[in-house]
This record gives sequence, structure tokens and C-alpha cells, in this order.
Amino acid sequence: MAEDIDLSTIDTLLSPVILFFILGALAAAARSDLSVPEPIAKGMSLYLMAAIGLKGGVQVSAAGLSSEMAGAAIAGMGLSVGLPFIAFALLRSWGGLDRLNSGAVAAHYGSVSIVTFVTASEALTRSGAEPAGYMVAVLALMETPAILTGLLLAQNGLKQKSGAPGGHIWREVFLNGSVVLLLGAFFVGLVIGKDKYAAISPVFTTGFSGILCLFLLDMGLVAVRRLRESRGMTLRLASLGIVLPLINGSLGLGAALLLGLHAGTAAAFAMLAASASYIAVPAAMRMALPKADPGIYLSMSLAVTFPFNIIVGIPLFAALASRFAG
Amino acid sequence: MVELVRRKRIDILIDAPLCEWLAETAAGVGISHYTLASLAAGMGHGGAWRDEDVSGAVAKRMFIAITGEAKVQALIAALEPHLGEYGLVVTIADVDVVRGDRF
Repeated sequence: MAEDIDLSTIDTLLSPVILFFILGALAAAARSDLSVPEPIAKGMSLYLMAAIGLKGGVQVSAAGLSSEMAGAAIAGMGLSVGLPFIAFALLRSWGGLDRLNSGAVAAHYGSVSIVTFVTASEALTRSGAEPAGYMVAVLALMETPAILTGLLLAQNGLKQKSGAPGGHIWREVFLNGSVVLLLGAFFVGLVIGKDKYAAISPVFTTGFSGILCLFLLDMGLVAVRRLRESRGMTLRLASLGIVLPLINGSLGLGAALLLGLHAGTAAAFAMLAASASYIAVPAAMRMALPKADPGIYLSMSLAVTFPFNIIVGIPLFAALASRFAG
Repeated sequence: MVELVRRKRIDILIDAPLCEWLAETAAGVGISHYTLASLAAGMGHGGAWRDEDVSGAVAKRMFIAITGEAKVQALIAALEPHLGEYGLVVTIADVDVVRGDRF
């Protein structure tokens, strides 16, 4: 019998986390001067990544390594390599983008959004379907392959002009702060286990939802300001910002069902596939494909796909996972 | 009276992710001392940018160095192939500095 996830769209919309996101979006739309100071936003981001990494590691230390984990990791990397091809084809045909910009945007849609994953995990946990701890490692593994696919699709390949920041790109790709902290905290959690985690859980568990609320307030502000300031955005590209997460999320859910993941983990896996990166990939693209327009790839991933996933994608894929996953 | 020495000051507006590359390029031509300044927001040919943008990809920094003319020219020559594609904004000014032997 399928596991039931009690997570309707209305329930999601009325959760404090999403209400704070909507508050930020409305404040930015109304041109309020509300802002979260950048060092505080960075601090909250560090806290959330450390918390989710630790939690995942502790869970894996309790449950142990499994073939299911290996299957999810391989499927995740496969999706990260493959999803940019779909995005690239749609961006070229329907979106009307040139090859360079299509490749740059496609990389974002193969990679993942950590904040979307964190928000989905919080919502699924709240509804009694906590995703498996190893999904944190799957997330980290899905971050990079799409960047390579995107670069190849953009026909820039891995070539660089003499004197260009080649080594810096790979440092950014493989050692960007988000991935290092996430994986580092995951391994710390793996080593310390449940008993030693109990001593630090008041910081990393009790405060988690409250900090996530404030972080999503900032994300709401940033998303709407980004949308307002974007110049290369068209209605067709905006529509792809909604269609791509639906296609990618469905493929992710399909892969999760084939792997036999339980509903909460399947929903989280679908959300990873549906999400688009706006932290690691934009920085890498700025270095590797400097002529690609960041106004397009940032606006699509941050201002269209992220809000769509937070408000519609999470309840949608949770419901589908609840319906179909065992 | 404190002696003033004429030097060149080079300011380069650059995307935050490219700062390390720029610092290494400058070091390659002998400019190993510099300052990086964070900037709040702006509008350029590529559109608007702000430092609080969560991605950090479009945040900008100002690279500032004071040195002799030969090193400044060498840095510009090293950056020349990338000026357009990385959207670098480069300004150079004559400045009078105290303790000129340090620059």
C-alpha cells in the first residue's frame, strides 16, 4: 500500500516557511526597502547547510549504507548528466535562445537547488514522510555533472582562452563552499552518530524551521527583485521555467519509483530533479561562459523555477509520490 | 615635509567569482599587493547587479592596486584578451603616494 503524505497545496501555502517566502516576494513587489543584510543571509545559509548535512549523516550512521543509497546516487548523477539535454532542446526550439545561452541555462536545470531541497525536506518531515538521510549525499553528487554537460552543449566544451580562469572554474565546481559544507557536515554526522548529535541538536534541530523562515524571506525578496531587473526574460522562457521542473521532476519521480524508494524519499528525489541551481552553477557559468547572459539563467532559475517549486512543485510531487510510491 | 612620489593607481570592476583569477594574473606581472572592495549594487551594460543576490554570480568587487606604470601596462596587456568577455571596467589614474618605495 502506498505511504500517505499529508501535504496539500493549501497546507504548504499556509506553512510559516512559505508564508515568509511570500512575505518577502510581496515586499519586493511593493518596492519596500526591506532587506536582509548579506552577511546575515550568508550566515543563515551556512547554518541550514550544516544542519541538513549533519542530520543526513546522523541518519545514515543509524541506518547504515545500503544498495538503495547506491542506486539513488547513480540515478541522481545520471539525471544530472541527462536532464540538461532536454532543457537544451527546449530552450533552443521553444525558447529561441542561441546555443551559448541554451547551454548555460541547461546546466542550471540539470544541477540542483539546495534551498529547494531543504524546504522540501522540512515540508515532508512535517507531514510525517521524512526523506532518507542519504539524500543529502545524492544532492551533492547531482550538483556537478550538469555543469560539464552544459559546457559541452554550449560548444565551448572544456576549452579556454590562454590566461582564462580555467583552474578557478574547476575549483568553483568541485570545491564550492555549499558542497564542501554540506558534504563535510554529512561526514561529521556520519562519524558522531545519534548519541553525540544529541548534544548539539538544540542548535541544529530546534532552530532549523525558524532560521529557514528568515532565509526564505530573503529568497522571496531576491527572487522578485531579480525578476524585476531581468532584461533578457521572455514569456516563452518564463513558461520553460515552469515546464522544465514539471518534466524533470516527473523523470526524477519515475526513477525513484523504479528504485523502489519510499514516498518521502521519492518526493525529495523528484524535487532534486525538478530544482534548478542558482548558487554553484551561475558562478561557474560566469567564469566558463562569460558571454552567456546571467540575466537569463539567474532569472529563470531563481525568479521563476524556485518560487514555482516552493509553492506548487513540493505539494505536487509529494502527492504523486504518496499516490505511486510503495 | 613628507615626500610624495608619483605612481599609478589601477581600479578594476570585476565579477566576484573572478577575483582570485585577477589577483593571480596581477601577481604574475609583479603586482602582489592589492585591495578588494565589496560593492553594494549597480547597473551596467549587462543589467542590474547587487551584492545581496544569493548566487553571488553577479556580485561585483573593485580591485585596487597602486604601482609603477610598467606593471600597470603589463597587467593591462595580460587582461586585454579578456576585457570584453568578462566585462572588466578598468580605470587608471596618477596618484601621489607617501612612502613611495612601498609601491
